[in-house]
Amino acid sequence: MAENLAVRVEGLVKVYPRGVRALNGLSFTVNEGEIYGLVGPNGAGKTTTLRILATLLKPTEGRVYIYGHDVVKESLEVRRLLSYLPEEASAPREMKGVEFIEFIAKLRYTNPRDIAQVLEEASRISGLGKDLERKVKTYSKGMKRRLLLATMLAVRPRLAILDEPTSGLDVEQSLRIRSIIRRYSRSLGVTVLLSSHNMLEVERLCDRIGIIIKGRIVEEGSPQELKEKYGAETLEDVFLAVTGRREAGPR
Amino acid sequence: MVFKVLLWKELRSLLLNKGALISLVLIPIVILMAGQASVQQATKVATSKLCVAVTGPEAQAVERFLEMRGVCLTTPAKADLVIYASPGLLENLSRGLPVKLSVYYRLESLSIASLKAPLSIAKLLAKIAGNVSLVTPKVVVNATVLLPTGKAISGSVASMMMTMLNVLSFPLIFAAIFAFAPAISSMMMEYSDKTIEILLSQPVKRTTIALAKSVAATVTGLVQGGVMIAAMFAMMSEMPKGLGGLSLQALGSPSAMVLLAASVIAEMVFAASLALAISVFMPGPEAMGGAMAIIVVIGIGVATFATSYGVPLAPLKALMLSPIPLIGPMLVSALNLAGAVAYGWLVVLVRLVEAGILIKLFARLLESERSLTAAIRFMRGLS
Ligand SMILES: Nc1ncnc2c1ncn2[C@@H]1O[C@H](COP(=O)(O)OP(=O)(O)OP(=O)(O)O)[C@@H](O)[C@H]1O
Ligand SMILES: [Mg+2]
Repeated sequence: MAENLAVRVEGLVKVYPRGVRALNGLSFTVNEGEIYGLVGPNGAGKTTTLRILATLLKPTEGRVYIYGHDVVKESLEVRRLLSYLPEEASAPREMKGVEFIEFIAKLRYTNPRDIAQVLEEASRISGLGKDLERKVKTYSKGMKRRLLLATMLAVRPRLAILDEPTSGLDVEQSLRIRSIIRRYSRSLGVTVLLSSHNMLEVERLCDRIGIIIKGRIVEEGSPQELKEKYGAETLEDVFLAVTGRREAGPR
Repeated sequence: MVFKVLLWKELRSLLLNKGALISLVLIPIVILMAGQASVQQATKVATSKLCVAVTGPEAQAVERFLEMRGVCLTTPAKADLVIYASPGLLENLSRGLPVKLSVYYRLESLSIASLKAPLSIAKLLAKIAGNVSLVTPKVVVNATVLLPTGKAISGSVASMMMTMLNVLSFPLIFAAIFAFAPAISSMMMEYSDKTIEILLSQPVKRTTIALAKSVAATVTGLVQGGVMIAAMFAMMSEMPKGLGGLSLQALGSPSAMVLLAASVIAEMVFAASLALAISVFMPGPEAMGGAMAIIVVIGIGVATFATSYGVPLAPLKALMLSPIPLIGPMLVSALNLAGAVAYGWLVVLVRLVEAGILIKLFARLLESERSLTAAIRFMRGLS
């Protein structure tokens, strides 16, 4: 049942105040320990979905369970299980990098040893080194992204929800972050649900992929399965085939 | 404890940063310097150099009456105050009876130090009439401010200012304004720093976030407002007595001071929570405008109304105690309870309950997606 599923989304509908129907009966599940990638064109509803899972938005219809907990009725319980990296976010400008990590750590842990461990892990994952002693307002876009991502992983959630985790990062940093996400998921059994526009990233990283168009999952499977099904060489070709912007089939 | 962590984070961003700390030092210096200047100016006004002009039907008779008592007379354009000599004024003046005078200020002379000038004018008139017992209660001063353009704003500006100084609502209006600003900037920073989604996805109850923000804004307001009001007191207490010379003892007994402190804190928590709730609907600088309008228009409006229409203060005291007359204080005032102190404490209690309700409301707004939608709108507006 639900309990061994990390995420269970059933018939999710989201209508925004001015009538935009962002989600239209979206359903999918994520198994525990899995890395699941949501891909889809701009405006498909990825961020909306992740925000509902992170308890920031309320679904208009449908249900979402995180490790068996209803995101609407047990939102606090759900937030204890997950950490969320928003699509567009930063840390308080006036805080130093370390102070931000410590702030987030203290909201979850009381034991100084746990907090120290989060700090250590976040500084290692971020690779920011001495820059962590500087104020966030002096950071570049990529540095801010690394700080947030590292913090959200270092607190060791059972489910990490990452909205375009590597957006704004250079090639080297993206590669590093990808390997960290993978290692984290494998060694600690952290379930990861991410969205991305980078097909290469999704292909290398994700165990399963859901392609979302106009608020519905229209295709789902492992990268290999999808490539075989569409007879495509790359996931990019699968994507283009599914979204119908190009003729289906191999090059 | 999570609350402490959140409170500390809020306090750091609101109070313990360079900008806020520098202004904590600078503001009192500016006030004290302005005070110095206005004390000098006011001292000039206070002495017998005050030159009076008289207009109206009985102008000549009143002029003669004043001249005989050594008052400096001049033309209206040069006068420090203009007296409108209505029929019967002279008779009352010479018999030491209560008189109603219209006193016109020129705007330049309406400095901070002359806030209490109506009192000194009343005293001057008492001296003129040769009857010292005429002071305050018997002379009703209606002040009119003459703008440099020559236009006059009539009303009872002076008595309103007196009321604000004499009744607790003066410090309370300050209290509310001082709590509004940090509360609104606390939410604005969440939006402009793009931290709101991260904050709201942490495993923390919304009520805890709301309470931490409200308390942090209150503490910040207390420190900033406290420093400023202390500077103003320091400035005013340098003035000669009878000229707005103000001492803490003049405010009342120690128990009244405790009540005042409690009122200020209650008012601040309330105002901060109101501002936080407003900022979910009006993210950005307009929240400040909206909040200020509520405070200033309603608060000062009620104070002016009550005093200028001579409404008996007792039933309105609760309203006067609170710059934002919401249901609670109105109810209290409707009950018309006797005893000012019990009254005051009841208002404090009601305010705290209202603050609690507003904090809950703010927490509900954070829980609903309204705060996020507001944040998204705000962030889109920025980029
Ligand atoms: N706060 C909002 N109010 C109204 N409509 C919104 C809001 N947020 C998103 N939408 C709309 O909902 C739809 C889905 O948006 P969403 O941000 O979920 O897409 P996305 O898949 O994350 O896109 P992208 O790849 O560009 O990040 C879009 O049509 C968008 O315009
Ligand atoms: Mg998105």
